[in-house]
Amino acid sequence: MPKITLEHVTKRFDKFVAVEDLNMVIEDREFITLLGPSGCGKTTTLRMIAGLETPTEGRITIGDEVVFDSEKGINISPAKRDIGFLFQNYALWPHMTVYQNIAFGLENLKWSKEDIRKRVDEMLAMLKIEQFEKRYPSELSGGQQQRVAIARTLAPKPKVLFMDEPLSNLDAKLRLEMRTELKRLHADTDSTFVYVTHDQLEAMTLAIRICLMKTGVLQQYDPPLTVYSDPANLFVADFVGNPTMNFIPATAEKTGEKSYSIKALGAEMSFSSSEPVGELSSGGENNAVLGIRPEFIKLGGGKLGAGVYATLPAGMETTVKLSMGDDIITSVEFGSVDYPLNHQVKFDIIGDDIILFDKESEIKLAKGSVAL
Amino acid sequence: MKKVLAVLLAMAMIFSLAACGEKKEEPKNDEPEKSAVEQAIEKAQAMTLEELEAAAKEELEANPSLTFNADSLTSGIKKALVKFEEKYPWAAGRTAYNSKKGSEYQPKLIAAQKADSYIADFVMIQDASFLKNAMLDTGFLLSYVPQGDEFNIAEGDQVPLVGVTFNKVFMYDNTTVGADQLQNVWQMTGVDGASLKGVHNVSYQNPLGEDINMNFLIMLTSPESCDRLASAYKSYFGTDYDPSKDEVTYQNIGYKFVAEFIKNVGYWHSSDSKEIKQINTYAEDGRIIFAGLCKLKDYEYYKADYKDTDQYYTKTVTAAGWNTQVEGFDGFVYNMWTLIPKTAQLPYTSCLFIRYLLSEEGFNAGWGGILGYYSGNQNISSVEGDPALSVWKEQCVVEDVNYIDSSYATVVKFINMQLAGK
Amino acid sequence: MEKKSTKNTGNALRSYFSKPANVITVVFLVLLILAVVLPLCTLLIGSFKVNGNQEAIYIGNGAADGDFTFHHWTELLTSKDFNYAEIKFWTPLRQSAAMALLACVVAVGFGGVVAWFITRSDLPGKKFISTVFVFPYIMPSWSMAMFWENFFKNTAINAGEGILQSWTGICVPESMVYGLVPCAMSLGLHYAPFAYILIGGILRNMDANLEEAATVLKASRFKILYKITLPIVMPALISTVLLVFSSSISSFTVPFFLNKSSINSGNNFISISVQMRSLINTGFTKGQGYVVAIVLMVFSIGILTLNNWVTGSRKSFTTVTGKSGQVSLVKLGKAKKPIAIIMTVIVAFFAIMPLFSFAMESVLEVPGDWSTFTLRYWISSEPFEGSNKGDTIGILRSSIMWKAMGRSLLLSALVSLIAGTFGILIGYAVASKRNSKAATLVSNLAFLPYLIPSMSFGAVYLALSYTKGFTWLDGSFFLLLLVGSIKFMPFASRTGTNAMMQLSGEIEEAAIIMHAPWWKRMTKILFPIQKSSFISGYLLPFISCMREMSLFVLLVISYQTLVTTVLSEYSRTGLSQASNAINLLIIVVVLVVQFIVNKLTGASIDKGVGGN
Repeated sequence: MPKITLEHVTKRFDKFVAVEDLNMVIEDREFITLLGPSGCGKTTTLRMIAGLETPTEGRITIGDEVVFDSEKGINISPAKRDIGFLFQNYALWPHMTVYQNIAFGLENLKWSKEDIRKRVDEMLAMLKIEQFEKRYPSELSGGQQQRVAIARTLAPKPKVLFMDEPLSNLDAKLRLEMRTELKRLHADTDSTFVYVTHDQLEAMTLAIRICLMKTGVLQQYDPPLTVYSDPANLFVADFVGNPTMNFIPATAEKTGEKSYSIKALGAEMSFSSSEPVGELSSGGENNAVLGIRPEFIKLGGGKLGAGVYATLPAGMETTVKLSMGDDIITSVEFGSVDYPLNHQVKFDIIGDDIILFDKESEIKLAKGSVAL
Repeated sequence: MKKVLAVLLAMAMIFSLAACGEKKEEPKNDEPEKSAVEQAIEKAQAMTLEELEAAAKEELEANPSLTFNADSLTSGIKKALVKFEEKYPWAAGRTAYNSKKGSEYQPKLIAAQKADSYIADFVMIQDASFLKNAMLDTGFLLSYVPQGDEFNIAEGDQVPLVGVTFNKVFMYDNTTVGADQLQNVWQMTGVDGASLKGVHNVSYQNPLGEDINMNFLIMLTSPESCDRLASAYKSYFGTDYDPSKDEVTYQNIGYKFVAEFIKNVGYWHSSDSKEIKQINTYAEDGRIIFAGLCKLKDYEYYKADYKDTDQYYTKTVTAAGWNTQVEGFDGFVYNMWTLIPKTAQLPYTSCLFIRYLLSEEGFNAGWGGILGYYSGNQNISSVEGDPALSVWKEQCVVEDVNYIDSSYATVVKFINMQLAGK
Repeated sequence: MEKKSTKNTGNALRSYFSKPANVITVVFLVLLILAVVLPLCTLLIGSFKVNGNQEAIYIGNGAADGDFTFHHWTELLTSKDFNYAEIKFWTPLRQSAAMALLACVVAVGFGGVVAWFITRSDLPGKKFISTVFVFPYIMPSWSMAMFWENFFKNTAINAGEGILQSWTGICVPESMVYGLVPCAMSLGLHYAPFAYILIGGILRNMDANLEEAATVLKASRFKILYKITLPIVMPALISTVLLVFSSSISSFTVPFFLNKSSINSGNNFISISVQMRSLINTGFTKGQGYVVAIVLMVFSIGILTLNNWVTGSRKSFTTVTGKSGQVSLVKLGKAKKPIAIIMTVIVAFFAIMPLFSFAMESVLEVPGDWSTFTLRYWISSEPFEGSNKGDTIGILRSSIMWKAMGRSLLLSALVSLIAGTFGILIGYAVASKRNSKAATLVSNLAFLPYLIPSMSFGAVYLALSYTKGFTWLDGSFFLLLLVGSIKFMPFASRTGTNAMMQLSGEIEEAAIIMHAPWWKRMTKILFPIQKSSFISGYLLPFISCMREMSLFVLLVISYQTLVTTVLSEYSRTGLSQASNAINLLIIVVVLVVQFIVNKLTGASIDKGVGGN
């Protein structure tokens, strides 16, 4: 039921544009992450949907109800939007006990005393914080406070749950744990989750779809793997994935409906795609960028050669940095491998997920494979 | 747009306020017709005491909801009202006394005058210039002059009617320094003299906080004061005052005296009353305090000894006596006027009360037996031990509204310069 | 925006007014413009016109009452006649500014240091220090001045023997007894509790991690104070400086009381407020007095602007985020005891000695002479000369005094309720709309009444109550309530704003999401969290109102109305012992009220600071 639609939503603070002409649809029971570097407008977007911030222009619909429309002057208060909101700083009320914090929202919904008791107990159990019921927030650790905040947010059973970097104040181990919990919660609660983060890994692991933003403008809105393997532009490609994608300066020329000829890494190659490819905005030297995920740089044979710049083993995989002329190329090998420094290796570019970007517009031209 | 709205709103307010302010000042009374209060006063003027009493009684009875409000700076009115109610039982419980300092009361009078609204039925105020310019010239305060043999009011004191006259004089405890400490006002200008204790030993209230003290200094520059000062100068220094020998050019000898007097003030007290109360502690150094003579009533030092005699004040003066024959002047004489506002609601009662105040009975009810209070009715003599008002007027500088008005701007600037020590 | 139809404008307005903060902003904008801009304009207009016949005489050249004139400005600011402008205006302005700055340093220094020790250290005896420290603020400001004089005066400067001299024989120079420095000290000590309350409130809520973070980074203690603590308490600091500066520069009683230097000593100090009072009180120069009032106001508005600039969005920080950190107290170690003793002695000295001197003055027939000890000014039921029915020499027997006390209490309680609540609402509006010009304007307007001289403020409302259509106001209790609430709102709005600014927006937003209606958010969330600060915001107007006199003196019908006017009536009748007794009584009553509030709510004016 609660499908969230944003149409032409814009938010300006004086002259500064926080969000520009944003259009997106969040399907019922989806888990969406708003991803982007700090200052990209993701939190503002979240707060606008929640009703905590008033958009300058546009229209927001939750379910069948228009909650905001600048044209018609509609602006439903956050309380009436049937949502939950998890704040980065938890925003627990310091003068209330854990129980009171969780029960507060239910009291406002005029629940009966017994129902409140029952629901709070349920939440305390669900988040494993039963023993803290009578404590004040200042007597809890960060992780415990976080759980209380989640319990408080979930207690009224909101249809939509908004989360603003809720895990950023936790340590790495706890964060991982909480991520799992959140994913479980999503499955258990039937709610739509909208989650703001600047951590691409968090976004990738949690979301059904990622909405990637940059300086107020939507870059790409797709499932995590699509975002990963088929980035809409250089920015997205760069932001998502760790280690980051290799960006190799290239000179490209369109040779057919679905192919280019490319000069890069001192070699001539041909690029072919299964789809029709885009037009280059200019000709000449270095008019394109070749984007290759590290896992598509296959070491140990091939037509290309480079010196090993550094080897970074991480146990499960090893990142190998290669030096080739002025370029540093990153490759990821499964398992533990080691190369002496400056050792010459041969490598190949494999796979169908090689991206060609236009240098000038930074937009993806094509996805395909290269052959030397 | 919000901002624009707010600014517009603010502008509208300001303009409407400004408009209101202007409206109030339009002169309203160009008609020569006399107000009800003026007519009542005129009628009262012609009445006998019995007729006036009857008129006042009738007036109070006809307006059972009204209270006779008497505003005054001096609590003597409060006492007089108590006796007044005793004398006229039909007025019992119908009067109220309100006291305000001059600086606090003047804005109230001005506001009432501007709005032409009720403030009180009886007003007793000081400050000649304020009275003339703000209250008489605007026709807001009116005078009723009691008639009859028992009243002997100097012509100049009739309109406006002087109720009580006060004096501020130079006092000191002479038990140690001797009665002859202060012989000549020029002693207080800091000129040398081994036997003199006037050097840096004068205590004066800051004229910036006390109008009477400012008016006194202003009056010192008047031609009449200059004559007094010149002759005192000659008697003290043995020569005539020669302006050419001064390093500073003074407009007249009064200016010279003011400048040197201020420079010589060793102590600026903030309350006459407090300072007088402690006068005995200054017996040793003979500090000369310029204060209201009537403040001696607060001087408790001899109270234990003389409490039960009716001569308390006389004894006090004798014990802490001083020279009342200072060459130059003893101090300053100023009036407090008893008047009826144009907007009074009980004018006959006002007239009757004024008549009562000016009678011996009424004066004694308010100020009887205390030195430093002198009735506008010359038939009433001052208390034992206190010279008569006529003597004080001879011996003191007298407040003169015309001189204060004409010289205020100049003299006050000069005084400010002296106060700054520059 | 421009092309929008009226319907859309209507919608926009509706949406604008659906937010409580916006409603508050607009309501207060209108209210304050009416209540504050009215007196302000009267002053401004008064400075450009001839106010009465006396002024016309002063100006000469055929000027008439009501004429437009620049004379007041040119005369006071530029007249070279007897060096008038320099002596009457510029020098006093400079000296008063110096005095006010010094008072700020004393208040912020003394109050700030005490606040730090109380909130951030493990100093023993906190409760006593914290309770007693606010006493000087409860007393009228001149009582500290009076005490200062009584303590330091000496025979070497021809002023009688003071306490210090009689104890030690030390005679301090005149400049230590009268003039600029003593004025600044008295005012500084009087307002130090104010600094203590405002700064302490912030320090108490400050996350200790902030300081600890710096410790870890090997910053020295001084550096932490200078680089971390100070910037964080800066808004409170500036609020304090603003209030102390404006109060001090326009304080009349203290400079008038301690302005007794002889001209020859070169120590003569005539404050701008004394000049202003003498100008306004004389019919000849009212307009010039208004000029001074306006200049003083411009001065303070300057500081206000600076305040807004410094604490603007650039440095808007919140301390209560809902993510609670542990508060750890600085260990004083060996210095603990000596500091506690020194602190207790100093605080007690300035708090209790003036009280003691009041008590003393009320029981001695002749000041300083214990052989004249008497309790009659407390308990005698004799009437005094010319007393009204109910007036007695002994104040405790006077039914008039008790009735007036009752009325004063009621007035102060209502004023504090209104001003305090308004303060919280304004604080809320300002904090929720941090960058909104309208909210800033409201906050600044709410501060202005503080800067308008009490007498002029009263005079404007007096004139209003005489105006047709408003005569029902004349002498009414409502008028006193109105004037008091507006005049004392600045205290409340400052504390309210400071407290609200400390709360992060999320604290409220979390409650919005939880379906809590606005009033519930205010009463259940925001108020309880900052309860102690807000209660301070209620108590400050209460205290100020209890001892206020010059604001109400024009507006009361008779001296019997308020306890302060009864006090001045006693003093005018010459019963200064009785007036001292009333003064002491007022202080005691305020302390009792504070104690009761403390017991009932657990918060108190000092508790806003004092930890648990």
